Amino acid sequence: MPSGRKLYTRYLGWIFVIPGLALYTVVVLGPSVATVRYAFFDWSGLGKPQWVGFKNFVDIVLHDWVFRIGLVNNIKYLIIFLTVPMILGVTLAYITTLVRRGVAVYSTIFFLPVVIASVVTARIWAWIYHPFFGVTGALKDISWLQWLTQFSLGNPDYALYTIAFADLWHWWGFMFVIYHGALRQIDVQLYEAARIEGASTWQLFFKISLPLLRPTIVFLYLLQMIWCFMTFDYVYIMTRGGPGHASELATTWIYDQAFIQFEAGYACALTIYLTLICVVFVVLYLYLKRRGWESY
Amino acid sequence: MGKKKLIAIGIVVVLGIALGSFTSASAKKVTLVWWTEYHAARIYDAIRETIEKPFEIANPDVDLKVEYFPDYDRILRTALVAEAGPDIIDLHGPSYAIEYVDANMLLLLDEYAEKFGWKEKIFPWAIACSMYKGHLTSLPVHYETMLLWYNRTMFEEKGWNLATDWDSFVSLCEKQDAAGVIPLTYGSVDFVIANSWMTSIFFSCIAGPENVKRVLTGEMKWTEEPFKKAIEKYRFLWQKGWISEKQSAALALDDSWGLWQDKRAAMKFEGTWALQNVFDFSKGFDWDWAPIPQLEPGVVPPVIMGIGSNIALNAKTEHPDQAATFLDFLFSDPKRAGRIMDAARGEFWVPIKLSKADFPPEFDERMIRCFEYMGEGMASGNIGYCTWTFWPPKTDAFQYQNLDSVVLDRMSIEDYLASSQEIFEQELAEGRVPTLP
Repeated sequence: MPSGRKLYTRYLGWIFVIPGLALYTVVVLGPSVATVRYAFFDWSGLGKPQWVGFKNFVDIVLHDWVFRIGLVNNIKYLIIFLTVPMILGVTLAYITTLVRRGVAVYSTIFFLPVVIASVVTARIWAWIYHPFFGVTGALKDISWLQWLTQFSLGNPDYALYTIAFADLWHWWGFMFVIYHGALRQIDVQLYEAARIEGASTWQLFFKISLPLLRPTIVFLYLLQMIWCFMTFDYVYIMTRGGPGHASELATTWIYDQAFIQFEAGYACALTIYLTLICVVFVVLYLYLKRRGWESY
Repeated sequence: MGKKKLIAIGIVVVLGIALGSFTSASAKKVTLVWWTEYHAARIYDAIRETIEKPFEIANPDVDLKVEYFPDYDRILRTALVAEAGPDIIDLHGPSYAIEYVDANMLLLLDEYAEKFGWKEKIFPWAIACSMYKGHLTSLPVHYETMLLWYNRTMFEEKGWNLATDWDSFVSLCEKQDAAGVIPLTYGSVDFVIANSWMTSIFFSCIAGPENVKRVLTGEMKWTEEPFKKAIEKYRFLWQKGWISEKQSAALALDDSWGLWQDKRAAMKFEGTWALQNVFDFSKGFDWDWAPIPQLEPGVVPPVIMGIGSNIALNAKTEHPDQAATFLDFLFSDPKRAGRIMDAARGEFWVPIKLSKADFPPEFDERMIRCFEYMGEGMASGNIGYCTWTFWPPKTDAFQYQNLDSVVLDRMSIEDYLASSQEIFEQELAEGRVPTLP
């Protein structure tokens, strides 16, 4: 029989864990389980839910063309955010490590947009893009810059990219800071040894920095993939998914179904599909980790 | 017992009786909570001065608390799901009430309607569309119509005349466009439901009110020619760039008023609620309104009627009688209704019989004309239908959500109307189409 002291030691950890676990159960786990449950019901969010089995899931696949548009737009967003901020972040982070003076100034400037609330940034950019009162509106009168006016929130061909540009402006500094921190962890002796062997600056980057950054890159790619499918704020604030669903994302459509169309059960089913997509990314990450891609 | 002791006991007894009376009086005082969707300062102040205070004076046993919230819909829904919430609820119109009624969250008002004679006090068409599955579920507290607002000073300066038919309307838009003025200012990015203003106008004025009534009763299909023509004409105007230079989906409602204030736009299709903004956004020039011109030969432009706001009782209210008394208070005094209409300006147009004498002397002449125009429409029976009042909710939602797709050629008119028909058939079968007058 364990002594009182041993019991105390064994269960002490639970005393600290239980409050957080209770909060997690109520705020996260409970609603998650409820979401799965209500996905099988026809429920407006108000009255009694009615069992419909897999009808919501089938309707989404067969009839919901807006959700398909949303998923395609999410994939476009993913391609943009897996390339531009990653390349920009790692390149500028590397260049900054070569700079002797003013590193803190550059880091601050690059990171500053990140600390501004996304709601504020989205509103500011919506005004910049305003077709009559913003910068875009002013460009209409300058003939050699008029081509830029097609990148407006009212143009269905470019609305999504216009929003993505604003989101990139806000977000790429975060990548920069993460990569910058990771680069500073690399042993400088590796660089010195390579320089002695005659390696150029870009050879140092491609042969030493990038391979050693691989764990960070893989992890950030995973997070970016999940975040791209969770993006909501910029689109909701700037276009609400318009014009004509051109910038609709899966999340904005889910919000519309749940809170505007009184289709809470249907929205739960949409959320399940979105979750499954994110699970695919996590499985991919775990597979790569097993293959050793995360380590060097 | 000494004299002093007797006096002391007497004082204590008197105080005790007084305190007891006060306590029992306080205990009898009922608190009614009214959640209103109106949050503009002008309307809120109007409610306090013309409704809250007079009601409390007339009903000293009731304490009325008027509350409003930003993000009103979400908070109301959460409260009602939690079986809490206020006694008295504002909703955005009869169509919006349907979901709450189906969830048994609203108190049916049939008994109170009989007790207070609401069906005699309130316009019959307004009562009719507040009925759902044979029951009175809410009361219409604000009625409205769609109008053409125009910059009168600009029209006079440029020598433009108001259009009387489709051809003259197109010609007017061409002239305005040539003069560098946006013919119609409009924005919907922050309120895509505003697209239902356009569907209301174009369906009623081009397909015609008779056909609209027939399609809403299932006698016609949405895919038929009159409705196709209605959307074609709207698309024509939009693709010409005469509606916010094809940027309506990138403009907010306030932006459209900004163009109006800057004199960059000449006209606006909007409802009577525009009175809230038109005074403030017309600094330096004069404005006026006109009926929607005849947009289709053979279709006499109807007076398009709608209920912008309705008021209901929470099914869980502990004071249904007092709450119903409050509802009746709103509809019982034409002069009070006139004062509210003047103060709220474009909102809270209570659908009861009023005469010019019921309005305060300072009531704007243009608002009086508007009120008379609506009265004439109701008297003649040539009324059109606002979608947020007379359409079933999902059909209305599909049409306003996808109107931009049609004008942007991302969806064909045929597909738009075919999907409308499919959704409408389901709602008709479920009995979710509001009662037509």
